[in-house]
Amino acid sequence: MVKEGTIKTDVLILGAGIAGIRAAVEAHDYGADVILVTKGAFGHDCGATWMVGVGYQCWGLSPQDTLDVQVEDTLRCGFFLNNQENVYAFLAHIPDTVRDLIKWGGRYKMRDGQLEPIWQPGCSIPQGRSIYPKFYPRGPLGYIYSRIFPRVVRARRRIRIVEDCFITDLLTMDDTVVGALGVDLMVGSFKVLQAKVTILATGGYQGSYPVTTANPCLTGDGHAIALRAGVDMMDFEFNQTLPCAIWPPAIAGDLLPYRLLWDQAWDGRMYNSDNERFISKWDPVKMEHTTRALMSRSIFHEIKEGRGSPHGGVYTGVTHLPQSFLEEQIQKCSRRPEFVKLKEAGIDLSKDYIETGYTIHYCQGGCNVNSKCETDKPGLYVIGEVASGSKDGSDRMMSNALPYCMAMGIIGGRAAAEKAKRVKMPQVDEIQVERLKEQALAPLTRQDGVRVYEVKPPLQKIMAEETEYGRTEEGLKAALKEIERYKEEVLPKLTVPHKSTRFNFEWINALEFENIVLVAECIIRNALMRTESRGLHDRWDYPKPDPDWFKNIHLRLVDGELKQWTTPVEFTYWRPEPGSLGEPMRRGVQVREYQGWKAEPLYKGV
Amino acid sequence: MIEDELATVKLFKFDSQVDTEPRYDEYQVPYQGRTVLDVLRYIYEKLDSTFAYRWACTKGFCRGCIVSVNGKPALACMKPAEKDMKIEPHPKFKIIKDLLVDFKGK
Repeated sequence: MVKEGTIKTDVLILGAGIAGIRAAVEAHDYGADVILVTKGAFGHDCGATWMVGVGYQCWGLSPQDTLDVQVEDTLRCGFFLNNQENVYAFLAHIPDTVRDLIKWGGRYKMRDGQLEPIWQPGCSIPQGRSIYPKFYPRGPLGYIYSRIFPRVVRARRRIRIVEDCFITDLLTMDDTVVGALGVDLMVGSFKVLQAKVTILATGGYQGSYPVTTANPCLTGDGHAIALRAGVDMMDFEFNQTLPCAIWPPAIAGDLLPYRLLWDQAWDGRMYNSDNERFISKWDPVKMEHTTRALMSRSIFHEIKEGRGSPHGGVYTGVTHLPQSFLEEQIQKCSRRPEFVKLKEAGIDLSKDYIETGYTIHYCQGGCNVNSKCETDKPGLYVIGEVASGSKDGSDRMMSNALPYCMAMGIIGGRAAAEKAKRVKMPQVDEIQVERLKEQALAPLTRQDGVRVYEVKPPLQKIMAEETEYGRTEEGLKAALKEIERYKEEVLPKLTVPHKSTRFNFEWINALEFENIVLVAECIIRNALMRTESRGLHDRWDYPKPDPDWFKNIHLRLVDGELKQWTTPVEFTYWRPEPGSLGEPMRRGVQVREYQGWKAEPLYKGV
Repeated sequence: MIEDELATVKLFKFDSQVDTEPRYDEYQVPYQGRTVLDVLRYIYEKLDSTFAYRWACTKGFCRGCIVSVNGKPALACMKPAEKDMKIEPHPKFKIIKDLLVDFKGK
């Protein structure tokens, strides 16, 4: 039966968000046949791309904002833990990615024929570096992208889109990746996707936490299949959180407080229960315009030290601004859903505070890649959020995610297409396919056991309690013990009562849950190993950065066991200022010029 | 407790591969303070895991959960649940199974 469901292609791309789409376009334009797989409906799927709000950091909008400046800013946000070779190689493409977006139909704010920047946290250029939507504050970019990207893909004949296809595992032959095995939900059968080159672009694992500002259907599938294929993975201890509303309930989980804080039009402020701007203890210079990691960490510490709000947060307010100005601002935004809901809840920004907590936003753990997006497995390229390569260090700079996705899409897509021209179609190991099918079908064949909906929320709760901020050895060890219990007692008992294979989402949720458990173990193990606090990794028992920890923690799954090791960070182009441990408020010192290719800056012409 | 008040939900069922006529199944579910998507997930996770529906971002961006509630198109994740609801697929698209549609059109 295997033969029936086999499709062959040059380049197989798993994941149809912005990274996967950009790679598909690039590989197609370089002459490859492409299959683009998504586990949902194309353009309406689990990607976080459709949820993008505002920014896109792009160097070169003005002559003084060079590639070097954006790289230094990125490294400062990342506490100098980044792989500098990767940061340069990826960011060098950014102006060209903006040209693509504009060509495809993205509409950004312009003035006198030039893109107009907005300032966002992490940027050291006062006039800002982020391009933003033409109709800001209305018209978020994600909506525009969900309209234009599918059109760009469908206009290319040799990109075949495979929708409603959940990938269970990568197929390997003699250590080379030769494709993937998927479940075609539409028909309810397995599909063998055989490819000369496979690109992984599946996004993050935000779904392993109970609440996320991103898409809860991001369940670390790419991370788990890469781990099971034995790929070198890294940086799982860094998971980015953002300030979000927790009260009133109507806007709980909304990023409005974060926007009030970073947007210079609002100049919002955070207060604790003593009405004190506590952020001054963490970043006295930039205050609320500091990095995301410091914001969330400071909120956690205020709550933990007993200066929180009644519903377990802190306060965000703009009441220090003149009333007339506020009225005008609120009027401008009055049609946005969060402002409508605020009004219904009886909260008036000109008088009241919003209670603010934080929740998971972006996952920095992923595959180790080099500057060509290659992994240590031949035939496998990884791009976007599922690729770490330590491009973000220990904290991602705001609005760097999409530029990275686009740039890695270009690099990975081109490299894959070129490689596909050189290699022959590899063979698939039929025995492996049968074994993987059997594994995937296991939850369906079990008669008794537990359902995924009973066991998933408790695990998510543990993740939120033990692996966000204020991590302790004790808590992490308890969480790890719980993971072990899940692996031994829960996963082997997962069952799906409804036995059909066609559009059986509970079956898929059960397979996703196995991925979540594996990723959760990676997060906890890395968090236990890193005995310092740096960026997004906040240890209660080791509160300071440690000079011995300019290292990345790698992981590899070997015979079912996670093996960890560290590699030192190489300060190839920049090193932290003398006397600094890489803190974002301190600068870097350039030790070498970047000699590689870089795009023409945008001020010379869009 | 006010939380326990139940809504009557009529859910559209149709499998384009098997059925010729759609049918409606009825469920009693708590609805207050929940969205239509919460209600659908409640039915799927607790009462009947045989029907097909789509959802992804839960925040009104991806538009994957678009349905028709009491004859009006709505994003299930944004629309507050009501006491009596008839939930059907969005009329603009071709039905594949139950609430799940093909976004490429009729």
